[in-house]
Amino acid sequence: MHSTIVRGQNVFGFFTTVCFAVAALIAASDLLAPRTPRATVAANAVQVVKGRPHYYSTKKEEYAIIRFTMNADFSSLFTWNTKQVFVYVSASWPNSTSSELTNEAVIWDTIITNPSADHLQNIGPAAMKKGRIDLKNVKPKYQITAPSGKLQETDDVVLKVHYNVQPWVGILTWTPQIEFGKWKKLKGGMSKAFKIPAIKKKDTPKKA
Amino acid sequence: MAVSQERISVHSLADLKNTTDDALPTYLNSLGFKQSHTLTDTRLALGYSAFAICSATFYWDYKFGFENTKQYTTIAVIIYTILNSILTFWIWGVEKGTVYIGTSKTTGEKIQIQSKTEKHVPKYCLTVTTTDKNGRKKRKIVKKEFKDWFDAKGHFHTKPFQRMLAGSVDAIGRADPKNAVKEGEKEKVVVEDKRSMDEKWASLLAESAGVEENGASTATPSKGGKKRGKKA
Amino acid sequence: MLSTLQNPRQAAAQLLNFGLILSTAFMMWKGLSVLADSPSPIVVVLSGSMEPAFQRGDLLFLWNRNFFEETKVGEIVVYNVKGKDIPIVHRLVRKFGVGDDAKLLTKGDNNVADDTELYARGQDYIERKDIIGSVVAYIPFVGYVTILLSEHPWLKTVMLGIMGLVVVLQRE
Repeated sequence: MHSTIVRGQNVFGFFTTVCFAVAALIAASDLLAPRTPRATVAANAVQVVKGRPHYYSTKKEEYAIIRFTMNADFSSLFTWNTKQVFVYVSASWPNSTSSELTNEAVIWDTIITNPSADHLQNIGPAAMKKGRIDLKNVKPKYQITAPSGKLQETDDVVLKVHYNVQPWVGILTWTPQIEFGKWKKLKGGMSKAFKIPAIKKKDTPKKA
Repeated sequence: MAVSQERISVHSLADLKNTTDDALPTYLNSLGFKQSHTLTDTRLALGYSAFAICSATFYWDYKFGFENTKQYTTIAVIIYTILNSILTFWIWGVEKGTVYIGTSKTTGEKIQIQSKTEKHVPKYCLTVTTTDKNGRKKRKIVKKEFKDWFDAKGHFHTKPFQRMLAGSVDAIGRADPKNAVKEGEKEKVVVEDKRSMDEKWASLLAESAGVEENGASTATPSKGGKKRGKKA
Repeated sequence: MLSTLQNPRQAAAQLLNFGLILSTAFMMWKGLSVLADSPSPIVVVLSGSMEPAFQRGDLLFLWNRNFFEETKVGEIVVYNVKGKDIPIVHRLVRKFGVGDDAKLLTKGDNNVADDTELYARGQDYIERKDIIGSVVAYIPFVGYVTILLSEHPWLKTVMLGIMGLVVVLQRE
C-alpha cells in the first residue's frame, strides 16, 4: 500500500540509516586523531597489614598498601568522540612457578570525563580534566590481596599505568600493545620492579 | 471478469506491477500456452530449505542452549548463507523478473516474459523473448503506461491489457488474433469511435465476458449499442 | 489481494518472503553469536553501575574469543552468576593466575565496593567460563526501547494494538 503508513515507514527507515551512517563516520574519525599518551609511575612506600576480607570473616589475609607517584599526560586521547578516559594503575607479580606476570590487581583508578560530558559526573580536580595527572606519593584506592591470603615478601612486583578510552559511539580502546596507525604506544607507564616487604615493616622499595 | 473487483492504490508502483504480473499468466494460460514453473519451483525449494535450516537451528538452540550446540549452529549459519546467496543469485541473475515462461500448445513457440518498473516512472517494461520451434530467438522490449489498463480508481481492466499484449507481441497475437490490434490500427479505431468512454468500457466488458464470440472487429457503434441493450 | 492466494505457488512465495525476513534476522543474530562465540553478542545496559561510561539503554557489542591474549584486567566484561538470570556488565579489576582457572574479580566503575557481594554464596571470584563476552563497541541509547517495554508491560499491549490496526487498515 502506498499510504501514510508506508511513507512513515520509509521516512523512519531513512532516518535510522542516516543516523547509523553518521555514527559510523564519527566512530571512524577516531582513527584520524593521533594518540601520544605518556606516563611515569613509581612505587613509594609499601606496607603489608593483616585484615579480614569482611567484618564477619574469621579468615585473616595480608593486604598490601602500595603508595605511588605518577605523572601522566593523556590529553591527546580527548577528541570530540571521547566520552571518558578510564585511567588505572595496576600491580602485577609473577607466580612462584613462573616468571610471567600472572597476577594483576588494580590499586588505583580514576575517570576523566570529557569536558562535554562533565554534566554527567564531576570526578576529580579540575586539573585532571584535560587528561594530565600529577600524583605524588599518594595512598592507593584499593588495598590488594591474593587468593592464598599471602602477599608479603613477593618479588618482582611492577606497577603499570593503563587507560581505556570510552567513545560517545564506536569502538572501545585500551592501552595498545602495538602501534596502530596514528595511535602510538603508551610512552613509559611501567615502574621498576620492587619487592613487597614482610609484614608491618614500612619499607622503601629496592631494586629487585 | 473484465474489471477487477478489487481496487489497488494507483499511487503505488509496486501494486500496479504486482497486479499486472498476476494477470499475465492467467491470460496466457487461457490462450493455450503451457506454463513452465521450473524457475519458481527452484526458488521455492531454495527458500524453503533455508527456512527449514533456520527452524532447526531455532529448535536446538532453544532446547539445548548455545554452548552445547554451537558447532551445529556454525554449520547451519554457513549453509544458510550459501543457500541465501544462491537464492539471491537465482532471483537477480537467472529469473531477472521473469513472470511467465510457457510454450504454445499449437505452434510450439516458447515465450519468456520478464517485467520491471523504473523508480517513479509509471510504465510497465516487458522483455519478451520468444523462441520458435527451430530455436531461433527473438527479443522484444515493450514499454506501456499502467494507465492504459488501470482506471483512476485502481480497478484493473482485462481487455485493454490483453490488447496491449496481443498487439505488441507477435507470438501472443497469433494465439489471440481477436485482440491483436496493432498500434496504428488501434489508433484508427479510437478515432472512428465516437462513443463516450463509458460506452466503450461497457462494450469491452461485455466482449470479454464472453457475450460475443464472433466479433473479430472490435467496435462499431451499432454493435456497441446492441451490447448495451443486452446488458440493460 | 486475497485472490492471489488462490494460486498455491504464489501463496507459497508470499509466505516464503515473510519467513525469510524472520529467518534471516534470526540467522544473522546466530551468525554474530558464533562469530563472537557468545550466546548474546549484543546486550543492553540495565543498570547505572558503570556510569558515566554506560547509561541505561546503551547498546554493547561483545566479543568472547581470545585470539591474541587472555581476557585481562581493565576490560569490561559481561558475566553470569549461578542462580541469577540477568548478566552483569562490570570491569575486571583483579586476575590471579592464567587460563581457565584464573580467579577474576569485577567491580562497577560507579560502585564503591567490588562485586564479591553479587556473586553466589561462598563464591569469591568468577572464572573465565562465567564471562559471556568483553565489551568492544558501544552505541548509546538505542536499546532503551527494550527497557521501556520490559518496565511498562502496557506498552507491549499498545504496540501490539497499533500493529494489529495497521494490518487491518492495510487490507482496506
